Amino acid sequence: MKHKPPQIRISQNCWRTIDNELSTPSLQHERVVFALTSSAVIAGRTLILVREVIVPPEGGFTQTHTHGAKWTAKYNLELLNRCLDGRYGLLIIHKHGGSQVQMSWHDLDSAHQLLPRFQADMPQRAHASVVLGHSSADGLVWLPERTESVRDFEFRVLDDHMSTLPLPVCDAGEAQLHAKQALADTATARKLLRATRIAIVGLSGGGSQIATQLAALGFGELIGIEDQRLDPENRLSTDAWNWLDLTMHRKKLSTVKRRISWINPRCRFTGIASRVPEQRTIDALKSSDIIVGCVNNLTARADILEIASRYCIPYIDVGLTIRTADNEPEPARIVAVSGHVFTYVPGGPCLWCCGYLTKGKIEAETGGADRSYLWNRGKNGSKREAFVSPFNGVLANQAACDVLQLVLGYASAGSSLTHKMYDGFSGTLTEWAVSRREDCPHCATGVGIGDPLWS
Amino acid sequence: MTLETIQLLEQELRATYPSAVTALDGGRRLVSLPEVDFPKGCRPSMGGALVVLDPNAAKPEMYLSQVPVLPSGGSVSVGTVSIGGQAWQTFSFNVAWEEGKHNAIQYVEAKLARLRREA
Repeated sequence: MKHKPPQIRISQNCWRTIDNELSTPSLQHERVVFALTSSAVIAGRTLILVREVIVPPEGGFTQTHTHGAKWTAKYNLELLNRCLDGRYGLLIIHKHGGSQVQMSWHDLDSAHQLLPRFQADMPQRAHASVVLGHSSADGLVWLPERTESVRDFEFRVLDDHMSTLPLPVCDAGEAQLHAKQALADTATARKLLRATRIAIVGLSGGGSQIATQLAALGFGELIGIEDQRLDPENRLSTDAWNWLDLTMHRKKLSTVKRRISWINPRCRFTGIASRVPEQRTIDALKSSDIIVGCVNNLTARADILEIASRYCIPYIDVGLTIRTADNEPEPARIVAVSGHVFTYVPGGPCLWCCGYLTKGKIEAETGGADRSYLWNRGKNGSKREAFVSPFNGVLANQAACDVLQLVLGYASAGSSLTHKMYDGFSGTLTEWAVSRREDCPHCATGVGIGDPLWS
Repeated sequence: MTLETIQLLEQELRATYPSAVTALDGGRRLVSLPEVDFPKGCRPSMGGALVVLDPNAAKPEMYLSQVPVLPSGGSVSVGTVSIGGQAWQTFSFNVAWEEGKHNAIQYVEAKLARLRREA
């Protein structure tokens, strides 16, 4: 099994605080921020998840004769108490100029003096000191219950896109082209796509089309989570299966797997025949870099969001609805073909912040939503399938664009990924402004929790 | 439930189940009970349980790692939930429990008592 180094993950709101602080020039000393971290172990890899950023006050530093930063013993004690109170690890972050950076002797010395003491008091957590450059990171990480530090780690930031250091090794020309034109077919872009594992929950109308798009783009690994077989009513929802698949009631997983092997034999497809939130599903979601959810009920969305948030994994939620008039006798007119693509970047606005998920809506949803797009609620109520494949296709393509943006970061900085609403009548996708709600109960406590720390 | 009640319930569970472990999980207190005895005749006879103590809830909630087969050979309707990054099973049974009046063990026993009845 390939060794996977520990990975530090920083949510959007925490990163913006860190970046803002480290980018503010100071004549007194090097800028330093601290972060309290939780952790998780997923398939043998340790994740270090930033929970809270601490910007030290100016009074916490002492004067030094070097360019570095030195903080007081009293402030160290304050940090240690914060770690012990919340049962957190400590992450120290600072920045050096240039693209390829290394810890200075002073950085190494101070990490070796300080962090083993934190580890002695809080051995169940990881503690680390990291220096960031323009496109590299260096540092020392003390893993839980280990006495030796490691220097081999990954540093993942979730913001307008998901950037992970170290970058793939490529020649300078390819790297420069990628930096300017992220959508160009460069060695860097190909390596980034191949290294990304995406879980797709639900392989019906939307999910099946997203899976084939991502395979065609060259993503390295797709995990399909779906436990249903095809039946004739799936005929109009996607172009991913053929008449024989429908007639033979083949598993959706095996149908999509076959399609993917034709499109891109190098794309590894793993099928998980289970539901949300069964353990196999949870394990598959945890191990992915990005989650795409094409589920038909709010409870499953809430469960997926919880896992995404807990382990700092971006989650793209896709949904399509056909609405009929409420106040007309059946069969009522179709009044809307609407859909959405919501890209949740942990630390940014979530489905609870925008009111898509509410406790009331989830409680009202008993037994799951109806799977059919059109339902005649009259006396002789009957289901009718609808011609939804192209509408699902529009949403699937937009979701694939959002996945691409997360991995390659092709859009300009500050572009919003979050919430796109689709109107099937006018054929438009409109971006809706969504803000993180400070009083959102989910965002306040759920981001970067990691695994429970039992004692 | 108040934080004082949660602390008290946690202590009661730890005292009764010495192998219990606890964790703070986003504001909620999780108490994992590696081995609780199911009512006589259930298969398996014991299993893992999780008690969730949430300050925003009126009473505790309990989940099982696997809901057992009832003594009658029947089964209760089971749902799956995700808590603390793990899947847990739950079954519908309203326990009449009041904060300040009942303790944690009464809650656990009352919930498990459902498994004594026919499906």
